[in-house]
Amino acid sequence: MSNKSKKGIALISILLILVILVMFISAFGTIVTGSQTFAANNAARIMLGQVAEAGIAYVTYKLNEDPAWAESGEHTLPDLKGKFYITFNPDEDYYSINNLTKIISKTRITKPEGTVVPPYTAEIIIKAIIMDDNNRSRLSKYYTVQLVRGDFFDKHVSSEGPILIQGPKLYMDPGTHDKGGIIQSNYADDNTPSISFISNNTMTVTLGRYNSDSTEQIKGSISTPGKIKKDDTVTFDRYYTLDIEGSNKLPQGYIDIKDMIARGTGGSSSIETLAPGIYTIKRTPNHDDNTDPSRVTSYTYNMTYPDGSTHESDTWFNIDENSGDLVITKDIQVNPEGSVNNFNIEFTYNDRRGQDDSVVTDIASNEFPSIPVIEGDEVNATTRNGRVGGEDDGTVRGNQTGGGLSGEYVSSKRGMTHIKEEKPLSYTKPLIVLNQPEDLTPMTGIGENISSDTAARTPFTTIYSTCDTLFGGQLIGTGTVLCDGNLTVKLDKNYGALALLSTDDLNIDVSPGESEKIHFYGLLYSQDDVIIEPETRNAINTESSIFRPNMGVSIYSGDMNKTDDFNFGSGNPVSVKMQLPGKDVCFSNYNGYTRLLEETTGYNYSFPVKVKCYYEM
Amino acid sequence: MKCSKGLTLSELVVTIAIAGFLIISTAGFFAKGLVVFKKNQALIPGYSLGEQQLEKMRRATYDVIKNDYGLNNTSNFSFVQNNITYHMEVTTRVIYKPHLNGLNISDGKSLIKVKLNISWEAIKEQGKRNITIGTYIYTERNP
Repeated sequence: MSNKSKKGIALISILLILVILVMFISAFGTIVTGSQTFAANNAARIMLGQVAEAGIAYVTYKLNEDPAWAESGEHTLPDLKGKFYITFNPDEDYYSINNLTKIISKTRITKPEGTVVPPYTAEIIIKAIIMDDNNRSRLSKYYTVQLVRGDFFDKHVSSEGPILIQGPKLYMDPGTHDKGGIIQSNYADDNTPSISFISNNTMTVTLGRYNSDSTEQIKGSISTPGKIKKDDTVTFDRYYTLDIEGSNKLPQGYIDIKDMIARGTGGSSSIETLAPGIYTIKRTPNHDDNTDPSRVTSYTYNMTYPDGSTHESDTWFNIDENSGDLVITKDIQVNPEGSVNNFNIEFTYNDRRGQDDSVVTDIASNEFPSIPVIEGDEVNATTRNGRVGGEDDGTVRGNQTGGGLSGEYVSSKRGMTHIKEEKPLSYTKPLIVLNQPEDLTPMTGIGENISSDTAARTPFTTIYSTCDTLFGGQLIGTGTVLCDGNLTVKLDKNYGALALLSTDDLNIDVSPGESEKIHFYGLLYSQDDVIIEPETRNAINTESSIFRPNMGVSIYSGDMNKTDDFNFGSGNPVSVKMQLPGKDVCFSNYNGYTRLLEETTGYNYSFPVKVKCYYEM
Repeated sequence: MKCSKGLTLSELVVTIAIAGFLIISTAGFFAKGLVVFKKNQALIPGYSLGEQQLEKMRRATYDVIKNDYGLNNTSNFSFVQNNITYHMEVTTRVIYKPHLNGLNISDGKSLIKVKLNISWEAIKEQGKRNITIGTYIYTERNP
C-alpha cells in the first residue's frame, strides 16, 4: 500500500460519522414523529370510541323507552368535536334494523348485505365521526351494536329452575316460527333433575313438526345444562324430539314488573285505587212470599269491601245479574296498607245462575273480547274439530303444526283478532271478567298478517297490585294482571288473551276434569315459580279426552327464590310445575300479549333492552 | 515508512472539529425531539384516566351520579398519580330524565352527557397538559 492511498482518512472518518449521525437523526425523527402520530391517533381513537359509546347509550335509552324505536338522524356533540349517525332507511348502506318487537327475521338488503337479524333483536349500526377544528370530518368508523330483549325466551316453556311436567297424555309443542318446540331449563345440579316427566299412565312428548313449505322435519328439543329424567311410561317422539343434556345456559329472561307497575300507574289518573283486603261477592235469593216462598224469583248481588261497606256496583265493577259473574270495567290499583298485604276477590256462591234461577253455563265465542295480534302472528287459521291450519275456502289441511292460532279469525284494522269457534265455552262457577275492549270493525282478514305498527291502542283492562293477589273465580277476558307478590288465578278456558305476571309465585288452578278444555292465550311469567295444577287435587278421570287443549302461551319462571321451590320425589325441586293429568296439551304460537304489556304502561312495556355485544366494523 | 503510521495531527483536528460541529449542531434536534416525545407520552395517561373515569361513571346509577357529581353541574376533583397531580373537571348534563311513578319514585333510567376536562402539570419539560373527552351515559334502572 502506498502512502498516497492513506491520505484523506479524515474525510472518510467524517463521512462515516456523518452516515451514522444521519442514521441516528432519521431513526430519532421517525420515533419522535411516530410518537406524535401515535399520541394523536390514540387520542382520536379514544375520542371516537367515546362518541360510539355515546351512540350506544343513546340507542339503549331510546330502545328502552320504545322498543319499536327506529328514528334516523345525526347527533352532534359539539363541545366534544364528535357526532354519530344512525339510519334505518333500507335504501342507505349500513342501515340499522330494529327487530325487537318482531317475531320474524329480517335480512339487510344493502351493504353489508345478507346480514340476518333474528326475531326479538336489533342490530344498530352507528357511524361515529371525529371532527377537526373546522368542523370537517377527521376520522370516522362504523360500529355495530347488537341488542337483545332481556325478557324473552323464544320458547313456550322455559325456566331458570327445574321443570316438572306431570301427567298429560300428550305434550305437543310444534315450536315457534324459526324452530321446533323447546323445553329449556337453565338449572344444573348433579343430584337433581332439571327437567322431569312423570306420569302414572302413558305420556307422549313431541316437540317438532313437518314443514310442508320446505318439506323438512323441524326437530324440537328438551334442553338443559343439567339432567333430564323421565318415567318409563313417558315416550319421546324420537322422530321429532331430541333430549340434550349438558347444553349451554341461555340468557336469563327478565321483565321489570315493578317498573311496569310504576309506569302504568304513574301517568294515569283514570285508575281506581282500591284498599287491600278481601272483596266478597254475595248473592241473595229473592222469594215471592205470596205464592211460593220456597221458589227463587230473582237474585240480588252485591260486593262487600274490606271496610265492610256493600256495593251493588261501583266505578270499577258491576255484577252480571244473569250469571253472577264479576265484570271489572276499569283499571285498578291495589297497594298494601299497614299490615294488610293481600287483595282477594271471592264469591260466596259457586254456581252461575240467571235471574229466573236457571243454571247458566255456556258463553258463545262471540261474547268473548277480541285479542291483540302482532306482525308475524298467524291469523289465517280455520278450525274444524280442533285442528289448526286452514285454507281460504274454509277447508282444513291435514297438518297439525299448531303454528298459528286456532279458531276462525276475523281481523280488524287495529291489529286485533277475534277467536270465533263454533263451540261455546262452558263454565259452571262464577267468573271474573276483564272487560271487553271496543267493538271490532271486521275486515276480510283471512290470510293476512296484521301489523301492530299502525294499530291504535285499545283499552284493555289492567290490574296493578303490589299485594299478594288471589282471584276466587276463573279469570276470563282480555287484559293484564301485574302483581308485585304472589298471584293465584283460576284459569283454563278463555277465548280472550291474558298476560299474568308476578314478582313471586304464579299459581294457576286448572279444572281437574280431563274432558275440560285448556284453551288459553297469553303469557304466564313469574320471577319465581309457575305452578299449574288442578284446582282440586282429587283423583283425575283417566278416560280419553276428546278435546285438544290449546295453549297459545309462553311460560317463564325466574326461580328467584330457590328455597321455596315445590319438591317432588326425594326432594327434587321444581320451579315450573305443569300438572295436567290425562290432558292433551298442544302449544300454538301467539305473541300478541306483547301489546297487552305495552298497554299497561301506556306507550311501551319496560322489558330491558340490553347490549349483547358491539364491535368496530 | 514512518509517516504512514497513524493519523496526522491535522487530520485528527479536522475530524474532531467536523464531528464536534455535527454533533453539537444535531444535539438541539435530539433534545427537542426528546421533549416532543415526552410530551406526546405525557398525553397517554391523561386519556387513560379519562377513559377510566367515564367507565366508572358508566357503571354508576343515576342516583350515584346525582350524589357524586351533581346533575347539570360542574364539579372538580384532584388526585395524585405517579407524583403528578391531575385536576379533573366533570360536567354533567341530563338529556333525558328518569320517569317518576305516582309516588314520585324515579325509575333511574336516564341519558346523561358527560364532559371531562383533565389538566395536569407533567414532569419537567413535559409542561402543562390539558385534554377534553366526553360521551353519553345511559343509566340503568336503580337496583
